Amino acid sequence: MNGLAQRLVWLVPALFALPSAAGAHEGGAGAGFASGFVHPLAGIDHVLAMLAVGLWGAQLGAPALWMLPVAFPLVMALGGVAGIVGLPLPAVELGIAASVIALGAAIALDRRPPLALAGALVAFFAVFHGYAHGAELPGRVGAVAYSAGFVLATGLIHLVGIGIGLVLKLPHGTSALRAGGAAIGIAGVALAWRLLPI
Amino acid sequence: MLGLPAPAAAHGMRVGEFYAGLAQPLFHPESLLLLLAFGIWAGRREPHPPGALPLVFVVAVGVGASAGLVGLALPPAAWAVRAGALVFGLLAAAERTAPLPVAALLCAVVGLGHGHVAAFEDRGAAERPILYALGVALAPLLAWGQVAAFTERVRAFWARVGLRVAASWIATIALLVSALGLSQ
Repeated sequence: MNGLAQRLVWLVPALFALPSAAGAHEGGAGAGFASGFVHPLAGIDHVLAMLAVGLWGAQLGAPALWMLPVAFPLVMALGGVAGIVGLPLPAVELGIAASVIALGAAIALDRRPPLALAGALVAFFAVFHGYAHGAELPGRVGAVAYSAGFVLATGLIHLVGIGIGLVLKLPHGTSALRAGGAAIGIAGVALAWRLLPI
Repeated sequence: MLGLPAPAAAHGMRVGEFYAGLAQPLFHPESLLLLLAFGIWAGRREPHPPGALPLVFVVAVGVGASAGLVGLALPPAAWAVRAGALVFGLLAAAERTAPLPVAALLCAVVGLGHGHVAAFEDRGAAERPILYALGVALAPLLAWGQVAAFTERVRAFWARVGLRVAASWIATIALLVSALGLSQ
């Protein structure tokens, strides 16, 4: 079992090397809990960033382990408010792609800044994610059901990231985690590349 | 529960006015959100006299429910419920203790709003409104009691962390709900 786990740990980076477009934000969504739950999952850019938050929290250890996944949804909601009320925020998709790059790089380089700085970085990028979601919320929804689904999906993705981050406990876990971060960062570069007007 | 596409229509069922009041949060998602946040905040080990804040909250809910049942309009009541879920959630997530007078005032204002929201829509439907108001007022005690019992029995660090994370998610949901309320 131990040997199998050690071999499987190298699959972890491969999970993050999926090159696909951003684009959770195409068209509106239906109402209700299911719709809210699905929305954060609809874009690989969001999923990668939220996974990276969980992974980085696992890498940094307590209290970042749970404080980063608390900060991200909360500040994301603030960004969502800005998006809902229509406040201007430039380069939202670029900000989202930058979040994937930055968080992936932080994991790959095993950067361990002070908790306040890590939290500030996560919060900064969370605004862009929240704004993008908020600007595309459906017009008439069951507000609590939709929001609950949305927040729960976000939190569960963080938890999956934390769970994957537990590979740190395996013999080659640190290297695998850093390789996963590198894969996330490369995916972020691919996302940003698609946004460039070339 | 939150994914149910149609009202559960507790307010047309004759399950007894007291139990209808007690079950009101189950059919009003914003109230459920508030009581969850309140339960986590008030149910932790606080330096205030045990039960002081729940008592204030229950009395305020009762007063608000009575006002709603007699038809007194209170337009900001729904916003008090949302704001309460947000503030209680944030305080619980941050494990911050407010001075007792401030905390009591918060409980009073939010409780008043929750009680009013719970009762105003159904005024005239209950044959014995005092029982409905009593049920509405006592519902927060269930939330508080559950969390208080949990924190008393489970002292593990991760249990405390889990409650703080849950409280932060409740605050986040309340924030989104408030924004959606502004936009709709």
